[in-house]
Amino acid sequence: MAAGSELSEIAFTLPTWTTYAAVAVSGLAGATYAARRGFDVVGVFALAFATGLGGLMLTDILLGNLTANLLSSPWFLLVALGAAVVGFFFAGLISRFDPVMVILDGLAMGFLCTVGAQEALKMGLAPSSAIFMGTLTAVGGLLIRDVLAGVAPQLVRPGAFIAVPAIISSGVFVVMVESSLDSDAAQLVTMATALFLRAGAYWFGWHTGSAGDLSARAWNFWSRRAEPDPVVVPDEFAEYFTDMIPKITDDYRPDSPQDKG
Amino acid sequence: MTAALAMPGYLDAVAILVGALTGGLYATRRGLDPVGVLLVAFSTGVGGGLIRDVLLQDGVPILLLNPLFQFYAALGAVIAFFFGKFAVKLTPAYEALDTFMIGGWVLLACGKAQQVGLGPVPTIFIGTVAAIGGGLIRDVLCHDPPELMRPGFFYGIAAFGAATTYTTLDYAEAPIIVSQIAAMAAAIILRVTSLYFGITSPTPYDVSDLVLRKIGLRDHQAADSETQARTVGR
Repeated sequence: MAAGSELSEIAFTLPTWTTYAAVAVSGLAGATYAARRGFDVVGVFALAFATGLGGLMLTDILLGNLTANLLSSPWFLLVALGAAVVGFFFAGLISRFDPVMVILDGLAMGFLCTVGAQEALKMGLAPSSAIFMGTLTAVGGLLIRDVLAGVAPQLVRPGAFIAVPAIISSGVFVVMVESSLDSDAAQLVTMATALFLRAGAYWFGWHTGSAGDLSARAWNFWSRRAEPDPVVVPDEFAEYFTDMIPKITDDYRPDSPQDKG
Repeated sequence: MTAALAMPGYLDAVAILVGALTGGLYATRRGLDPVGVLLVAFSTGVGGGLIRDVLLQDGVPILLLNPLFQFYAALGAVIAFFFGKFAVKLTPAYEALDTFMIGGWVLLACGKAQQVGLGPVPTIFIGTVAAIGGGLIRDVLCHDPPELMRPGFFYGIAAFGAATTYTTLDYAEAPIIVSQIAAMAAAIILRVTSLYFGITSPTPYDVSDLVLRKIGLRDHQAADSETQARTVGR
């Protein structure tokens, strides 16, 4: 447990209120979403709580220290409550400042990644588990929000980056901490990464696509067939992660209107 | 009462890989993105174990403790995402392995519940939930009505049968190996019978009219016309 004790000394210089700010931003996004979908007061409050605290709660449940973090101080619940109240009355105003919300959301996502990954590392879990927990902390709230709102979870559907920034920035954080860099720097870099990817998804339309099949290509290569490949894929990275080049496959699926959110 | 499982250690790796592959293929067919395929593969492969560990509150879930499990689940997701058309051809093999593994998951969960010190009835519950939880999370993520709850071939029933068999035999102080083999056999027999004879899980069968008529609270004509009206209205 030498590594564990060393890691437990991860201390951030960012003040404590940063966590509350992250909860407030996510809660506000959840409340605005509920208001836009025409939910009643209970719906707005439930979605604000679920989106704001869902990720942290999932992490605490999985790591088995629920009372240690989220429920020990009343502030988490009060902050989420405040976000719900603000979202209930000012949803119209907030949706006029969409770019600001995207920036704040990107920062909050990066911060939540570091919180989840740090909790996992503190318990001495493997780096891959820490990345998993960081991602879950950042996007678990969105997942619960969509399940509660009764729509297909946006998280798992093709569309603008949601979970990809969380996975990448959790990975960045874990790599930086494991290579024993300064944990403050790691946290700031993580938040910057999340912000960059999230803003890029918003302004440049970076989005994920659905599965492209490589079976035929692999088979052609393996059996050294001479025929040219029927599927023209100009750039694999572009196809699977940005999808900016239109796909020329037989099973092209246009996004359903629901995915536009 | 310790449950040293009567199956080789690499079997749960195979089970996770197969579960992740079937989940990943399902997600690929539903047109999810890479993250979605990964998440659904994870939850189908190890979701049941995750629910079990959260319910038992016995430390950190095994998924997080063992990076190898994450590797198998991720491997299944990658294969399903990139080689779906090829992987789907092996479906009968997954079905067979899945049938075989219902009992395996049930036994792992029941053993863990007994280690924590639960009684027979909670043990049956934990065993059943662990076997069916992965599919449940998968359907929630893909926004489908859970397959588990729709009429179909026995899966939940097979898991319940296996859990009950194991717990009953173990409670009757049968040798551990006997109860484990009996439980796996029970799951396989229930599932294969259902598939072979086309037996599907029953839906509610309403006997209220019948009972009311028998005890004389309702006369035949009124009951018949009411039933008819209800059927037409539907």
